Amino acid sequence: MVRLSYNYQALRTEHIRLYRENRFVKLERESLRSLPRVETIARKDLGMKDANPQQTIAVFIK
Amino acid sequence: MAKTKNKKSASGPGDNFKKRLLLAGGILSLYGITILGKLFYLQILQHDELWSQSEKQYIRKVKTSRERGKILDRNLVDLAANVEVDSVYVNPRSIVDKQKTTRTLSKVLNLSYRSTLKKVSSKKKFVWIKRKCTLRESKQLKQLALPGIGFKTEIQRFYPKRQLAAGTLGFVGMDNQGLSGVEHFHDTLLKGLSSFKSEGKDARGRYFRGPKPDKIQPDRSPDLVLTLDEVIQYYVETQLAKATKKYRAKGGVAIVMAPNTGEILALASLPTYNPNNYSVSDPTSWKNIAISSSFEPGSIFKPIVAAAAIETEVASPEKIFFCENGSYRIGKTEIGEAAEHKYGWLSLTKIIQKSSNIGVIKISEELGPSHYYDYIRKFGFGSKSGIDLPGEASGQLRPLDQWSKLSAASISFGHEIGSTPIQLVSAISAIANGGNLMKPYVAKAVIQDGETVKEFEPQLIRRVISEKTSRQMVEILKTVVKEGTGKKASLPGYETAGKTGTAQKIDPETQSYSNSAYVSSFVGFAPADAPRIAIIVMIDEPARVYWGGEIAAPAFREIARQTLRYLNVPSKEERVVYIKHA
Repeated sequence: MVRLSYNYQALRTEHIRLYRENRFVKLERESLRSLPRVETIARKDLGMKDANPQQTIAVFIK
Repeated sequence: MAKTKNKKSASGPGDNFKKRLLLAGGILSLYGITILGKLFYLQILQHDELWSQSEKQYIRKVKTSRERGKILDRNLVDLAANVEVDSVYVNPRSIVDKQKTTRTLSKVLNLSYRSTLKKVSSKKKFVWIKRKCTLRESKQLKQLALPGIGFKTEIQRFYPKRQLAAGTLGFVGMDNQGLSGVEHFHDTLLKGLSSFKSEGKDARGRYFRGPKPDKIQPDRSPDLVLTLDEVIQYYVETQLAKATKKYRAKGGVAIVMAPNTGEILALASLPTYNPNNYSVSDPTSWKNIAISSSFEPGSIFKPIVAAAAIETEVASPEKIFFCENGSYRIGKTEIGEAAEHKYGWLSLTKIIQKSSNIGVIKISEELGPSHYYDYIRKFGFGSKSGIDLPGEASGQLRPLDQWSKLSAASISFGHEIGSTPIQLVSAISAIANGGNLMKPYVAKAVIQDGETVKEFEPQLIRRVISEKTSRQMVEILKTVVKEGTGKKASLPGYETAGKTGTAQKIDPETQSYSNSAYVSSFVGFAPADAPRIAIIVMIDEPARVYWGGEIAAPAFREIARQTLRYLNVPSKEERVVYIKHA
């Protein structure tokens, strides 16, 4: 019983560590998704441009 | 005597044995009673005290802080979240070489040597060295494993989008208390609460089990969903920054509002700051000027006069007024037109389209000060809009009994009145949406563990003008963009409506209107006949050019173009395809 308790504690500590890491990674993802960064990459690195109105089709699903 | 002697000799050794037996029995009984007494004392009388003492030895109460709720945009994108960081403390009594430790601490944590040495030399057992260190700092310090140095995990507010919507979000203090913006206004809802939970520990102090399960509580306060849209906010901030940079302006404000509901889709003001590190910014940038600063609005106030005149049937859009060929005297004051225009007879529509100062003065004269004042108040000027952000200003509107002979005339072209950008965009929304003044708001919902627990509904403040007047005003404001001063707000594929404004600022030194400091603005909505967005753009003290139609109108156009495309509002130039859902 005591051994199981110690195992449980070890697993819980690991769980907390992984949970923190996961949260941190999610926040990092949100930072990396920030629109100024995405736009800079799209325009400068990938050479993307705004579409002309004639090039766009608005699709509505009834 | 002999009988007695015989009796004595007869009882001899056996008698002694009995006595000893009785004595031993008595002692044992006394011992037993003492034990029972002690047991009674310990188990019954001292029970509670001893039980609590034993609990202290093997049960440890751990303080757990309930985290501050997150702030999300309307699409549940994180705008403010929490991150766990280390704070560093020392136990000065455990530090032998205080100078060496101080040198290391001040170097790794970028602190001054003198103040750190003072802390390290303290006689206390616990002294904070640096709270909420960066990950790099705490990692470096942990690797050094210095004696007497301890780490405590704390929660730090983190704004992953950095400057985005900083003025609206605000920021928190060292103990995560909301100090500004939504963080402050909704602090009661967002703030984390502390609680205690029990954990078992063995003789070495290691945790091994919880003796009894604690009441399960959510580990985070509710999250707040805003009406803001990250993408629209980005468009607004980008265009506002472009305009202020291009014209080397002191600052600027832009707001995008949903005119039918009062939802704020984006709110930006410049200069701004990074809420992750607000203390390094100039405190003046912390002020959300979109709601807490009032400006003389200039000509963007003219639609209010026109709407009041049409609503009270004092004038129709076609009614003509004589504009005095560019010069009109009220008492000793002579009033002229902008850019020295000289207009003769103009219809109400043309007065707004050409932004004639004398024309609106004539309209306000027909309206009369009392009616005029009533409608200014009805449109929400001179009182707070009620937006759920702290520090809102009411603007400046003198009571009617304090008006001078010149007041009605000055107010009609947006002088002698102070209004906040949020008041102006709310008023134009009322003109756009059929006449209803809606309360602007930024908090959309409260969610807990993914479930919506509260929703903030749109609130009608009052009906200001009729639908008929609203339709007439929309037609008038369309002409401003088609043929008038707001041509640069024209948006290909959409009909837009709005009004330009160029207001001289008061020079604080001379206490008169400056000839070099202006506020250039444009307020409008699109698509004009079924508005989805109302926008105000104000550029504070632009250099070189200062006309609202030249500076603010193009920024309006770009914000509207990008936002309408993002909101899937098709333009007339786009192909539209309807697909039946399978």
